Amino acid sequence: MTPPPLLEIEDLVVSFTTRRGVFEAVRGVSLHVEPGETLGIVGESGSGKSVTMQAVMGLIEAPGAIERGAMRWNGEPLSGTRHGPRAAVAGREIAMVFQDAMTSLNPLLTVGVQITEVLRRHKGLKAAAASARASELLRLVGITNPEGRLHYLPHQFSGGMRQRIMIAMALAAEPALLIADEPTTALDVTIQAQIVDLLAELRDRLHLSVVLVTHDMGLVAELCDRVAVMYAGRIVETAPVQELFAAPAHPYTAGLLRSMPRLDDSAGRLEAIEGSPPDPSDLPEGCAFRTRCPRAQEDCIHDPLTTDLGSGRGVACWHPLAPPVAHGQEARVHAGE
Amino acid sequence: MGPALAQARLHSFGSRLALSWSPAQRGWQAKRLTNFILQRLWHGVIVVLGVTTIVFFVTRVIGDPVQLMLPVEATLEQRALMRHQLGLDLPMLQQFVQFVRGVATFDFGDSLWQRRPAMDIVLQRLPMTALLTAVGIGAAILLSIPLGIIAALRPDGVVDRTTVVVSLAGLSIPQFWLGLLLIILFGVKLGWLPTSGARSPLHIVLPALTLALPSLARLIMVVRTAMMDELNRQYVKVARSKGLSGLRVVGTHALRNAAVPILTLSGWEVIGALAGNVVVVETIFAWPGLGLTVVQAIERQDLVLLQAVVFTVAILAVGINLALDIIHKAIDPRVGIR
Repeated sequence: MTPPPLLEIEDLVVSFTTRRGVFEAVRGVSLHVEPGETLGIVGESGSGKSVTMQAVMGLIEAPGAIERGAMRWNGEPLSGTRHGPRAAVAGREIAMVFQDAMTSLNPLLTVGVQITEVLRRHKGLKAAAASARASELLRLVGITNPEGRLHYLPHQFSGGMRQRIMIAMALAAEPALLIADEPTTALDVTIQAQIVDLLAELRDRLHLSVVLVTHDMGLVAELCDRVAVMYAGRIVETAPVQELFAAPAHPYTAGLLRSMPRLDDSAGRLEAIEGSPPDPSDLPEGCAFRTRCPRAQEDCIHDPLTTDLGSGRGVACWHPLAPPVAHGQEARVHAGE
Repeated sequence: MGPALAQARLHSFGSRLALSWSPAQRGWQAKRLTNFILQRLWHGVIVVLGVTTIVFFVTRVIGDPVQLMLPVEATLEQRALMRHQLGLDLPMLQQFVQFVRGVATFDFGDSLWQRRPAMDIVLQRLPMTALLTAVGIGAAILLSIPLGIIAALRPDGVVDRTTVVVSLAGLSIPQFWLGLLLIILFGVKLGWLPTSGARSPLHIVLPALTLALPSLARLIMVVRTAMMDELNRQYVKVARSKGLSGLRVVGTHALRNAAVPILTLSGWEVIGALAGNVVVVETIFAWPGLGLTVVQAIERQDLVLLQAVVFTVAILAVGINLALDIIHKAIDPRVGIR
């Protein structure tokens, strides 16, 4: 019997109540993260990728609510309320790094306090031991003179340093899973590379599982083992990373890949996916992508089921792109029709 | 004890306020804090002088105490003599110089009405006003914080809706009318509480309540808004994601950030009570404090006593503001650095 996945989400539905009515930001997401695996979740803004991870962390707050779905940690249900699981797992075994390091740290508490409070809570360390461990963590993420820096306030650090501190804070409880929600988006390009390298290094050194939420396909290619592509609150395609890049099955994935800048392409202009993401409170019936999809046909008005393509691949599309013949070039041609 | 140690001790008070600085930064920070306090003190001196100057001239322009002090049938000579005795016949500038000289030695002169040093009267009445303000505004502050936090945690919940409605009512009712309503209810109809004077601890209940309710209304609104703002910030979400207890997230992370507006308004409420609201409340309930003294001094055109009261209140206001600035800086070391 195979061991259960580290994290398993089944048919998760998260809704938000607004003045204009109730809309579902996550509409039946199922995914799993295996021990030691790095899963990328990609999609445009508003596709529900961050909300899914916030549900795991128990961060869904009114007006948001988890309507349906099961979440399991090592096979055990993450029990909790309508707003997500209790803090027992979230924070100790699953930690999260957020997008905006500039606003993620409390401006009035020293970074030492913000790291040691995790150690006190989850590791039961007392003041001196916690401080020692906190400076160890700061050194781990590449901050020099960590003992002195413990007394600094967040505004005394640059954005990149703050993101390093966020990572140190997330690792303080020695979690098994690290969720990184667009960890580099708010940073300068040169700093982005440093943070990516740091994440990769720490993942390998600490044997972490990672969920990387991003819209940067380059980052996915660099860091991830497996990818889940989200569109309008659903996972439209999952695949191991090489296969996804070689031969995307869903027209949306193909569009995403084509909109990536390429070094070996001198065409100059980037291709974009036609149209814009649908209004989550007014989704098209059936496949949410059909209004922008070059392959859309009449039967797309029905909800597509997820088809298992074998070898861990799945796609939710009535007219997926043909499986790869040689190098995925054919799929690209199809997608460009 | 070496000089280094002595200096370290000297600076330790300032350093403790700047809680979050590394030992290496502490000496430098303590010096900055000292400069900061000196600067605010200097501003305070200007404020006190400005206020007393204004009061000095305004009171001399708007009325003539001699008219009130002597009977209607007094002769012109008698009036002139009285004016001379009080020093009111001198040119105004000369009077002002004398006044400033007196203030410098803490001598405000004798009250025209009670014929004894004005500052003695002020200092004698001040404790009663301080007590009333401390009980009234203190209760308002202590109640507003938990109520405002509960309201902010559950927007549109029962506590939130109730506090908003009650606060709006509290803000809309004029204080003098509120005092009269409370007298009618608790004094006349129910007969539970005394309504006049300060002879027993029970006597403070109604005036303190009257003083507290409008402040409580304003404070709750500010605590609620400040906490709602903070609870929606990213760092609160991060703190929750760390699996910290709700008490830690709300009480340490959010409340510390919300504390600055809450403290500022609390200070203003104390100053507002001392500088104005106690006049109404003490008059309604015959509470023998500074507010009542002010009313009596105005009625009798007692310029000297009035000056002493205004000077004292200005000093208190400046002192409270300075204390607020220091606390503010202790909470948020970024203050004054940006």
